[in-house]
Amino acid sequence: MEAILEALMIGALYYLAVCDITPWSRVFSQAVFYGLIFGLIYGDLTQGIILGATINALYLGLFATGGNLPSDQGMAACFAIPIALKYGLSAEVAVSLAVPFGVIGTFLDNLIRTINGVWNRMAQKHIEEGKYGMLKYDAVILPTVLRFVLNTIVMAIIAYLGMSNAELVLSYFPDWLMHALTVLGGVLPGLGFVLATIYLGRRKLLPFAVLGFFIYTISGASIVVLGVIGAMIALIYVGMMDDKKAVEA
Amino acid sequence: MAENETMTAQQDAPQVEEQAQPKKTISSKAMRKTCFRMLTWHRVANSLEYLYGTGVGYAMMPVLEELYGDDSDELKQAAQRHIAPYISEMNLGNCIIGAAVAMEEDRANGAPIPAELISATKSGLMGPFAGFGDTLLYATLAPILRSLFLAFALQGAVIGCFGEVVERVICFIIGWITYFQGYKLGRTSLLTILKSNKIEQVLVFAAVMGMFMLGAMGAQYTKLTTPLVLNISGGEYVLQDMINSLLPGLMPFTLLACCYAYMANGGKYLRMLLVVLVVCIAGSLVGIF
Repeated sequence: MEAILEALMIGALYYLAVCDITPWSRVFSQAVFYGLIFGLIYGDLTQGIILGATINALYLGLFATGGNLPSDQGMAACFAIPIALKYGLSAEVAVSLAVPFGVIGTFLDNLIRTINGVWNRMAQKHIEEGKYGMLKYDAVILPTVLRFVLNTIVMAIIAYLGMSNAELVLSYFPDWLMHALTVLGGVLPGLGFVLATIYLGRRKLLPFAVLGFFIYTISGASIVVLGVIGAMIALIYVGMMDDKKAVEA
Repeated sequence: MAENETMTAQQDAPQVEEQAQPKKTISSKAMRKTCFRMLTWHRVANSLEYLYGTGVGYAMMPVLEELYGDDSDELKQAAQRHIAPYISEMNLGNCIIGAAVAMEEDRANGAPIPAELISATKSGLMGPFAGFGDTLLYATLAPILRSLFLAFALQGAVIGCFGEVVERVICFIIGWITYFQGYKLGRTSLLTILKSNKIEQVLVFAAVMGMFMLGAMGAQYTKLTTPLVLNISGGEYVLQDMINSLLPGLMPFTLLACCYAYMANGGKYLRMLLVVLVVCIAGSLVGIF
């Protein structure tokens, strides 16, 4: 019974990540937030935050273009962090565990978005009938209820299965597999940044990314200094682009 | 602004002859309500077919009710045209809704604005502003802000969890300002701004800085080293030390470069994940990693 309640709690917390109610919900969709919450719940705040931050690093460069979720950080965090906290997994292993669930989360999201077409048709009908008061149901209240129910239940099921079987599955993991998962977890955030550079879309500007990479590698400078350097380089580039245009014109 | 002026001139002519019709204005309460709805609830009914249209229609209602409240047919048509599919960047793109509100106001006051023009304006502007807003706010500002706070979070500091809150506050303020700007500037000015050079310059600046920061953050968060020790002619060489002195970051960089090349040429994310997993397992077994 306790396990079911725990799973339901995780499910409800997951809902916060995807509810999309006011953009403030995006605060919840970041893994650090779940690191904070689960750290508090399971009694290890520092480790929780570190776990959340490491998982967050994977998704630092990702954003939902046009409401399309490329990867569900919420589900990833809600699955991996409680398990990692309970069984003392390292941050890298937690990251490896998190990734598949980030993907599963997107399937759920697409399903819900397909269903959501219903609300627009209902809204059209209500406008036809002049019942404008019903619009708040079509646009806000009913979709929210749908999401709450579906997201919470699905996550609760996943969390329940995960938590009750984790110990068993982990005990079967040989050392080399754990090491491989640790290596994988160390590498995955980099993939997130690769994706982000692709989303940014301007291939011609790739040298700047390489530049940033190696400048960090040799300096280990803080992000603020890097920000200043990056901004200056960008200004120079824009200035040169302008000069070129002036010459051509 | 020129467009609005000619319309007022056309309105003035018949009014001289007939009873002066009171000019319909929108109360600032309704203006704020619509803006607030756009910045908060309008994305809840996110659907694949209609995108955010349902929410936009709901958001526009306070304004539409004030403008067309006395004419139920007009109100119905207006509501119908605003629940059409809509998607744009929520904060910078709010100016589009502001402009649409301005156009509805003019139309309600008798200006010859066809309904299709309002819909077309929204559809036409939403793409460019989505690109502009997404690049500026989410591809550049967001990773930088998040990374700033993440650095604290990785040490376990609670403050690191609030990076997103800061970003949300900034975006909300931007969204509020652009809405009222869009209302003031109207359709033609927005189009002019879009075509001007300034936007391209800002975008390029953001893109260059974004690429640079993404590269730096990629280096920060990707860890890949080799424990290999080479035995060459009697001497032991720790490979990682040699790499570090010649080209530090070689291994993570190579991996990321391969991933980039794969994804940029139409690769599938899932497939790449699997390949990386296999490489990690194989490498671990062999002892490279």
